Amino acid sequence: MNPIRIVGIASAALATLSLTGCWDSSDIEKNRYVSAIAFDYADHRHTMFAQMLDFSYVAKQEKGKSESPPVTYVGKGVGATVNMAANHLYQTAQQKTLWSHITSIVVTEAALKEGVQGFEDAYDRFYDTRFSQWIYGTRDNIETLFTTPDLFNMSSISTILHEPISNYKQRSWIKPIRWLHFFADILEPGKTVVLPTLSVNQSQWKKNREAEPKLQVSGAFLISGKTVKGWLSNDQLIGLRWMNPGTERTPLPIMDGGRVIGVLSLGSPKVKMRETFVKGLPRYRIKLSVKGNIVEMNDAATEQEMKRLAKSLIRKEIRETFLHAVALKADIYQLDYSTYVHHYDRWKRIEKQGNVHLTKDSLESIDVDIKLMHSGMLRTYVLE
Amino acid sequence: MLPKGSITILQASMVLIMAIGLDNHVTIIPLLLHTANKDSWISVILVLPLCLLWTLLPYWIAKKTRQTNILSWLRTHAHPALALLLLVPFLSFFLTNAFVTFKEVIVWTRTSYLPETPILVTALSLLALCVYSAMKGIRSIAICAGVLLPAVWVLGYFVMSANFQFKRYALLFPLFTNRFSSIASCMMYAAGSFIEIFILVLIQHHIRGKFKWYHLMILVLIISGLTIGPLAGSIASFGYKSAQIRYPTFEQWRLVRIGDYVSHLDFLSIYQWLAGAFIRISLMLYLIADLLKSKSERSRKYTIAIVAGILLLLVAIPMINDMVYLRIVRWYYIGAFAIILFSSLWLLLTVVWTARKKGAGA
Repeated sequence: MNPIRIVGIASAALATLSLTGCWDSSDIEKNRYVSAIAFDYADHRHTMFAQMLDFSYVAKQEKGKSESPPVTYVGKGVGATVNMAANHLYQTAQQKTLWSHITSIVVTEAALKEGVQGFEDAYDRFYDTRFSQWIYGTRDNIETLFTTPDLFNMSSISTILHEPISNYKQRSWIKPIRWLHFFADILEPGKTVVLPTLSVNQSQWKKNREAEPKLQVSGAFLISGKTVKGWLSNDQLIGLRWMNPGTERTPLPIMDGGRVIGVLSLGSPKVKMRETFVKGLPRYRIKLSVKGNIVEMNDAATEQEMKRLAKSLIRKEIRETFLHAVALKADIYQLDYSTYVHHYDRWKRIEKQGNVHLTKDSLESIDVDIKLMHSGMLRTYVLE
Repeated sequence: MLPKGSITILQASMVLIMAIGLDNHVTIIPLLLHTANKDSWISVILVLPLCLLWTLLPYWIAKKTRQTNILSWLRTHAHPALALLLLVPFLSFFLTNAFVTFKEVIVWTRTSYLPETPILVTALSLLALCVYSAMKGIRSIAICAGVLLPAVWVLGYFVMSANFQFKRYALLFPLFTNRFSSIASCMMYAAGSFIEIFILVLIQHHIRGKFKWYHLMILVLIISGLTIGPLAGSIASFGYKSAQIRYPTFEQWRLVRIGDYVSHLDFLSIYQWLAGAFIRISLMLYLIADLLKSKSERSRKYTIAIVAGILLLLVAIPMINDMVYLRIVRWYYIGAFAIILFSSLWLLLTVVWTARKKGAGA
């Protein structure tokens, strides 16, 4: 064989073999995988929390479930910036810390008010982090939040912090949002981002007579143009579910006077928005249709009657939440954004004149249509 | 008489889809987003008819010259100086082209998934492969492209459909929020990439069988689809933020998630990117040597080796960091657009003029 050829083959073999990873390889068992992070801000200093879970509770085991409660570690790093805070965490992390398997990010009110840029840049610029994670706000203590357990001795990886979808499907109130959508929407002019907030409920569940804390979505921050407009509770956000096409099922108690005559479970809302312009300022007409079924009936009522009451209740709820948001100068139903997309020239003119885009009169009318599909496993209750 | 060449039209198309596809799937997208943001995708659609019309130029050139070596044709039928006028710009274009591709793939490797591996190792491994296949010739490059392309294609559709769950195509609107000048520049950059199919004229003597006008048009359509797909996908996923992202196409790969258990599939994009870069750099090395028309096989190999050495040097010098690189890329597309458009115009005029003169003489 030609000597040049031998040298060629040898060097090719050397190059390809060495590529398989002397430099960037690491032993899996030694890596420390972070499952969730949180950002906080106080006194000109950024704090970063890292939650790490014991993977032996995640993997299915032959012996069945472990008897002891799962172990959760929460680390806290402090620094002048987010990156410095992460570096501060390394100081005590013992082994290499990996950020690629984060599933959720929690941001405190203080960090949001300091500006999303504070944590956005460091997170996005880093090569190991991804954009499809969930993002939550919170007004609670992060360490308590990160150590709140799931039911039984399940790993925290199945709490709403990490997996919010199945819970949202069963009770659609505030839609969970992913990192990429959060930051895409923040940059859309005229859009208001609804960021769900997590909190700890101390009393709802008991574990063998002892109260055990559980995570819950307690409300949402309204953010637009990178500024936090304010926070609304679950109750104040009661109308939001009708305006979110993601809503799968949500309960509506039918009230007549002071009495509850039944409960409807409704979902798949279809929202249409029409705007007319009065003196250059938009007035919005909302057309909404929802589908659902009867889940409870306490009193005699015809289908027509139930629908009529339900429509007016939905209208009331939508307007109520709208007014709560307007009080915070926030546009919870993305009315202004609808103008931005569909009437860009007019939107620009309003912006140029420095007019307030939205007032409590902007929502002109709400038209609701309800389709009832069935009455569950019982017939509708009719008094003879 | 059918032109005798070593590769078929299908093979040549696959080489070009791989080579240009890498560029307009990856390299150009951050530039387009940076220039016109949400209007970038509509700019691409607006420039497409013009590019389709333009394909008639290379088609007529190839037809009138009967797919013979274009440089020899210029020397014998027109004037040797004209051959030089074609040779010099294209040599510099191909060299810059190879450098841009090479630099991008190596820096990306460094910043995204091998942060601790020395650049020299990744650069040498890739370059060695390219040099080897360029030395083996156009046929070998074409066969490689045929083997690599199907998987690249399938993976492309995979990432597109896996990400539908994250995409909100409503984010593509409103349109025309940017100034006309940015939309026009965006159109020019995109055109600069599409009209790279002019390379066909430079390798026409290697192609077996005549190419038809619709071959070129289909090629441009496919190549423009390769730009519009990830461009619109990026806007639908990240909105206005797309313009900030350094690797918008790769970032879409990193989103991929199937259920709760499957994620982190971005390693598959390494295959796509390296396959594209391999074909593109090999083709550029080959074309440089082919244009210089080295007398012996030995000097052809030396040419390739020397050009590869220059590339390695350019990639390794620390003066050109990624920020400088991004400025170079902008000028590269302006240059590519100017060189190719200008060359195709004067070449067609020359070809038509010579044919008429000949016709008059006969």
